[in-house]
Parts: sequence; C-alpha cells; structure tokens
Amino acid sequence: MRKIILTFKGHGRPVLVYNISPSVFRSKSLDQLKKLEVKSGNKTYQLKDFFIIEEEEPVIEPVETIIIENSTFNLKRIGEKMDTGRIVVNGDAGMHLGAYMKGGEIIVNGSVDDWCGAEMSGGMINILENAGNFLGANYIGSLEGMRGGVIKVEGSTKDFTGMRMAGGAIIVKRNCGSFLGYYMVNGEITVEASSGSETGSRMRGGVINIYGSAEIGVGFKKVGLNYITSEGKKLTLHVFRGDSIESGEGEIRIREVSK
Amino acid sequence: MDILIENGVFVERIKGRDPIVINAERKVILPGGVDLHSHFAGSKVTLGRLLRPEEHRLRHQFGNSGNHIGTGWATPTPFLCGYLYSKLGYAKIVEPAVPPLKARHTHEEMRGIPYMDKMSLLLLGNSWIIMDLIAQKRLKLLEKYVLWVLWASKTYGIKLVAPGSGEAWAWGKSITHIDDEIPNFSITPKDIIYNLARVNKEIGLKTPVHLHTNNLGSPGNYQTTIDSLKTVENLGLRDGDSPFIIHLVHAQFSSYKGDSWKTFSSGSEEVAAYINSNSHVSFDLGQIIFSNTTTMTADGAWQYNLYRLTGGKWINNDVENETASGIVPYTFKRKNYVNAIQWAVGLELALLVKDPWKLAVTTDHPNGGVFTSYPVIIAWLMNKKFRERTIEKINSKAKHIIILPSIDREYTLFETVIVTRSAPARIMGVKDGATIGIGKEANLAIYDLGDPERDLGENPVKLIKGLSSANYNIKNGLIVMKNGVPVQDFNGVTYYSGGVNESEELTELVDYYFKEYYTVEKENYIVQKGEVMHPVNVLEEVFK
Repeated sequence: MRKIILTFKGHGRPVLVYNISPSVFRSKSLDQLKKLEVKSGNKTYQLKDFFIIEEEEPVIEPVETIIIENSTFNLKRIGEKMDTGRIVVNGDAGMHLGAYMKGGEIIVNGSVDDWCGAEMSGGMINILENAGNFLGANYIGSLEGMRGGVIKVEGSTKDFTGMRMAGGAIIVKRNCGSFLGYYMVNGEITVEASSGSETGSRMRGGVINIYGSAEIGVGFKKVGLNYITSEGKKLTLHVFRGDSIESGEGEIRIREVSK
Repeated sequence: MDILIENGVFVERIKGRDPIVINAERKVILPGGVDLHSHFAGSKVTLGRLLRPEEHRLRHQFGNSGNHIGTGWATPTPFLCGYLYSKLGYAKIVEPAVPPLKARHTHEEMRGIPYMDKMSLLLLGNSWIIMDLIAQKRLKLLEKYVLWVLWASKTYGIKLVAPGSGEAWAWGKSITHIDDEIPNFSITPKDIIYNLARVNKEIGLKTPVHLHTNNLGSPGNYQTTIDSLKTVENLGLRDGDSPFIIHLVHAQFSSYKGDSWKTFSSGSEEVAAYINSNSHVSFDLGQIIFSNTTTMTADGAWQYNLYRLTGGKWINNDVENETASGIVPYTFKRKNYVNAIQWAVGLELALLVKDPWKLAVTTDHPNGGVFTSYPVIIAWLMNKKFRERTIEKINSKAKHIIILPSIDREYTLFETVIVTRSAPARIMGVKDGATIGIGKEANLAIYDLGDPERDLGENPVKLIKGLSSANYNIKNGLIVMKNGVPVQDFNGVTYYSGGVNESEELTELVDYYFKEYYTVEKENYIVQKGEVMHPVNVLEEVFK
C-alpha cells in the first residue's frame, strides 16, 4: 500500500491544508504532490513549502495512508471532504479536521481544535486526546450537522458537541461542555463522564447517553429507567424525553441530574 | 469583417495608432446582455446574505489575480456579482425593487458592482403618499410627486409590487382581487395600476410600469394577471423606444390555474394568448431552475404564505409607510408536482408568445434561480430534445398535465439574442446600449460556441458551456473580462430619471408626510448625486 509521510516544518501562522486528503492525493506522483495548493494568510503556497514529503512503496496505486508528523493546531482543514483512505496525525490538529467527510478514517494522536467532523456524513474520526467546540456540529446557517459516521474522543470536549446532529454517533470518554446535542435531530451521543448545563437543549430527536451527571432543562419529562452495563459496571439511567419547547421526541438517558 | 471601436463607441474608421486586435474568427459576437429583472443589490439582498450564511459556502472567489474576493450563490457579494455577470457577457443590469427609503443603501451596494451599467426601479405600489393622492384625485400632483421621488432616490422607473396588498397585510388582511378595497384608503389595486401607468406615460419615463401582480404564486392567479393587464388597455401606446404601457415581471409566477395546490395547473396558454393579441404588454419569464435559492420580494404577504409552506427560517420587513418585503429560502425540486408545473409554465410562455421583442429571459434572480443559469434556459428554448430530457425527470403526475411536450417551436440563435439583449434593452429604453452600430455604445461579448456553420442548438452541453463563460467581454470599448478572468477595473454608469419640480403644492405635501409619518428628515432622505456611481439622468433635471 502506498504511504505518504508529511513532516510539518512549522509555521507561525495558520495554514489551510484542505488538499491533504487521500481523495486528492490518489495516484498523483511525488512531483505533483509537491505542487499542491496550500493557503496561508492572503497568499497561496505549495505543499513542499511547509512539508517534507516522503513516499513509501512508490508503486502506481492510489494513496492509502497519509501520515502527518509534527502536526500543530496551525494545520487547518486536514482531510476536508475526504471519502476514502486513512490519515494519521501525529500531534495536534487544527480547526475543521474532517469537515464534510464522507468516508475513510482519521486518527489523531493528540488534540483537535473546533469544528472537528462538522457536517460529516460518513467515515470515522478517532481522537486520542481532547476535542474543541462544535464537534460534529453544523456550520452556521445549515440545518443539519453530522449526518453519519463515527467520532470517538478519548479525552474531553468543549461546548456545542453534536449541534444539530442528524445521524451517526459521537462517543466521548471524559467530560463535555455545555449545550451537548443542541437542536439535535437524530443519531446518538454517548458521554462516559459528565456534561455541562443545557444538555439536549431544543432537542428534537435522537439519543444522548450520559454515564455521569448533567444539567437538563425544564422541557424534559422523566419517562422511566434504563439498565445498562458499561465496561463491566452496572448502571441505572433515568430516561427523559423532550425538549417540549420544540415538541421534541429526543431521549436523554442520564445517571444523575445535577441541579 | 472587422468591428472597429474607439473611445467607447463603434466607429467606421480608427484614428489612433496601434489598436488592440482580437481575432474572433469562428466565434459568436453579440452585444452585451441586458438583465431587466435581477435582485442583486439593496437592503433585502443584504438581509438574505445575513439569513443564509450556508449559501455563501457554495461559491467562493479568492483574490489571487488582483481581483476582489467574494462569496455567495443566490446573493453574491457586489464585486462577485459584477464579475459573474461580466463572465456571462452582460453589460446592463436592473435592480427591480428599491424601497425609496432604502435607495441610499442600494446605491452604496451598486457602487461596488464593477463593469455593469445599473438601473433600479422604485417601489411605489404600497406607498401611503401615492395612495392618498389617488384617493383624493390630485392627479397632477401625483405626477409631480412621482418625478420628485424618482429624483430623490436616483432611480429609473416605477415598480408596482402587488399594489395595496402589502398595506392590507400589515393590517392582517388580504387582497385577493384587484377590485378589493385597500383598508383605510378607499381605493383599489386597479386604481393604483391605472393611475401610475398613466403618470408613467405622461411624464415620459423611458420604461413602462413594471407590474408584479396581486395573488402572485397562488393557484388560479392567471385571471388576476389578465384583469390587471386589461386595466391599462385604453391608455394607448407610449412614445419612444419602448412602446409598451405595462411590463409584466416574472410572468411565470402569475400564470397559474386551479383552485388549490392539488389542482394546480398551467395558465400559460391564456396569458400568452392575451399577450399575443395585445401590443401594450411586455413581460419577462421568471423561469425557475431546479435548485436551492433564496427567494426575496417586496410582496410580504406572499412570502408569509411561502414561509408557512416551508416552515423554515424567514424574514419579513416593513419599510415604514412605503412598502414591505420578505425573504424565504426555497428549493425547487423536480419531483415536486407544483415546482414541475412552474418550470413548464415559464418555458411555455416563452414558446407560446410569438413576438420575441415582447419578452426577456430572466429567472427573477434569485427567486426562480440564479442568473448564472441563463445559458440553461437558452438551451431549453433552442432544443426540444433537451427539454424532453428534463421532462423525463420531473414529477410523473405533472408530466401528463403540462402542454410543453406538445410545443415544437425551437428558438433560433437570432431569437435568443433578442430575448437576452435587444428586447430587454428596448423595454428599458436603453436600446443604444445593446446594438452593434456606428456611434453606438461599444458593449460586446464574444463566445466560442463551436462550429458556427452548424445548428448551435444541436449540442446543448456545448452551448451551455460556451454561453456560461464569454471569451471576451468588452464594456464601453474596454476589455474587462477575458476567459472569465477580470482584466481591469471599470465602473459603469447609473441611469436615473426624475427631476425637481418647483411647486409649492409639492413641497407642502412632502413636508407634511415627513413631519407626520417618516422617521427621517427630508434632507437625509434625498440621495445626493455624489453617492451614486457615475449618475446619468435620462430626463430633464428641472421642470417648470
């Protein structure tokens, strides 16, 4: 399998690398890859200006894996609109990682900034540390956020996780910020620790599981109990339905309601 | 054959040395296009931009080649709007809905639109002053006021949007017939249409009254449309380039039969028959394109109904005592029964009306679709097979109701030039700007449409591709666009009409309304010449 290794040389300012994606790389030769467009500030650069590009197994076949070394929060839009292949980011990744993604897999051995997986419709994003705001959210103005695929975060996330989510799954191992699943329509969010205030606010459908505590609004009515087993532990979850402000049919399953 | 241009006009012989030579062998050379109905600037376009940031992610232009950046699909930002029109080969555009109070905003935006000559039409159909003057039968004063308000807002002509209906709607009522009385004014929409069309003729504006009919978009409205057009039948024709007494805007939205959405059908035959047998009406299509768009009109009542159909986000706006407006995002779908019929109605009208000089191709940008889709409409008009291919994909119930499949007419290239250039220019009274002739303004677009010896309609894909991007766009003798890339900065002129009438009666009237009703002072209301890009008044400035 053809593998490309990009080593980031570092840059003081944000760099838009929407062209780093197996869907763009495909069967381009090393020379063609070096000339791919990269934007920073009001200027256009080439990929070779910011990266050392190495190739493993240079056979003529589509690029399967891209590895980005020394990555920082300044690398924005990695894997945007990708539909196949695999990206491994060693380090942190900047905003809009995997936005509009349709398929394939992204693994980040570090943290990501805001808008990770925004409006994605398929594929898998795996983050080994923390994520920022608007994980799997919709961009301003759009009516649907994440529509499919899976986002897994080993650490914590900030506010507006899964905003207007309409499908797929988000799994967060540690805490979430406020407005979890804001305006959520469909899909499933699982938080294995606690969440902040306004959880599930204006929710219309879908499911939010919280294995810790969370604050929920008055629009939710308790409908029953749910017994599950998570990592060998037996949990009793209180099931709420709402948000009645939106005549919503969403479900929040929560271990403990904080006041 | 050579076409010679010097100092912005076509000439017989060039005096200067070393002219720029363009080899246009086997290309198609057309005069610059004229779009007489496109909502491209003004406060409601800006509100549309604010309402729909998601639309601006659909089209970006980065400022790499020295040009300005811009974004937007249905509501492109001013610079991008100028570039896109220029790329299509257009030279003159008309903003058809300017509330007098928002004229300054419109001019500010129009200043930012490069390359184009701009005109704008003033919304007078729901103005309290106009309605009061008609109710009091002070018709001489009405003429003076119309001239003054056109001058004050630096606009070009009169637009009536569902006369009276915006005012009624503000009171929670609706006007469904042009003989209904407008609340608090004891007049009917018919009076407004008749009197303003008469005023338009008397004061000699260059373009007829543009009418957006009452009941627009509702099933069964073709009768209202024909009644409205009949109202002005006895006024005779106008003098000058544009003989029409009334211009029916986006006729497609006004030509429906049926009594509900379920029995919705096409009324194009009736409307086309009326237009064919009468010489006082011109119209533009308002063709819909199957895509997502942001609808915006001064017809607040209709936009409220549309919002109830879609249930999404919307904006409604009331402009003091002058007019109203609304914005609703909408997607025209092939498989939707109503949308499929709407699509057919537009093309039926274009094909059933015999005289191409009476019609202009528009999409009522952005209400029916974006203006960059004009080449697709041309391809539909020029090629029956291409129409049939689209008909195959539309709603199957609609497919059996529309009469479009039975129409065999195909436009010639010559006719398409008339409906996109000469006819709209003539209707707007700027015929010289869209004519290739000695001494005329040198606006040209050069297209590569393939082998000119063959029938150009034969290959619609190539036709659309060719028309979408002009090889050259020449505006006032300058090459402004080359293969879709801006070459140099240039700003067109802004045409306006109207004049100051030194009359005590008028001053008294205007002062009264500003004191009693407006939130602004008269001095701040008048748009100064310095705020307008290259203003050109087509009438006398001062009347006695």
